[in-house]
Amino acid sequence: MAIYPSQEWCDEWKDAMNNDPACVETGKNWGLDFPGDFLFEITPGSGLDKTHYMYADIKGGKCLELKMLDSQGDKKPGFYVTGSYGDFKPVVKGEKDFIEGIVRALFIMKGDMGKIMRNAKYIRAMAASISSFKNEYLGE
Amino acid sequence: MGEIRIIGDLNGLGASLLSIMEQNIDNPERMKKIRRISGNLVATEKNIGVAITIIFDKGNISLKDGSVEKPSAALWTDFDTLAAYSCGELNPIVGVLKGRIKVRGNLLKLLKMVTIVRSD
Repeated sequence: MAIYPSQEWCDEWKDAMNNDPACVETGKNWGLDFPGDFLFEITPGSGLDKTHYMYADIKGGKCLELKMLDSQGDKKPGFYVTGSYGDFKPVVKGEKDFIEGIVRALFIMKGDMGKIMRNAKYIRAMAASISSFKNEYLGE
Repeated sequence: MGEIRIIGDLNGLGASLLSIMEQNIDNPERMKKIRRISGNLVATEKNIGVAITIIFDKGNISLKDGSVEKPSAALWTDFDTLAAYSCGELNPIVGVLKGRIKVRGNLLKLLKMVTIVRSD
């Protein structure tokens, strides 16, 4: 089982997204005429010792690249999501809803939120694919 | 470019709707419907209980976290229904009739005011 977060976990999530018919179908227009890449900043706590960055390049319902980064670097993603490891962990486990986290402002998302509203089904499918495989977690 | 006045810190619901509102304020056709309206609309995500208030003052629009005591109109719905409405997939009347959206207050005013978060 992959440890969340790790490159092995990124590879599993990428496969899960690309093999999920809901992601492929609902995301077919995602990122075609706007930058649809995400940078996740996972802040420490609940077993995570330092801030981790995860970059996901997604276009047309397919994840082209998903990798851990040492820092934000020069990436200027379409969507920048910040949240604590303690808040991301229940989403990855499938216990909490990612969109609820956005509405509650547990996760701060910067980017064209209108695109998120217009593609809410895709965002939900993408978030559901996170919990479609088993993982191990830090601090447990 | 027009501007939505933000009062205080916005919750995630407000932040999600803000960019659509900012696009609409520059849309003369959309603004024609709401330019003369004064009043406020409270929208609540019913599953989470997070609310925002959109304040209309004859073409000037403000957005604030939470609800106000006596809004001109109020609606309760879930995020997915609000998203479906905002992208034009859901007719609000159908949403109300099917019970996906609950409303209170001046319905006619609400139907005009809520177009500020519609992006079709």
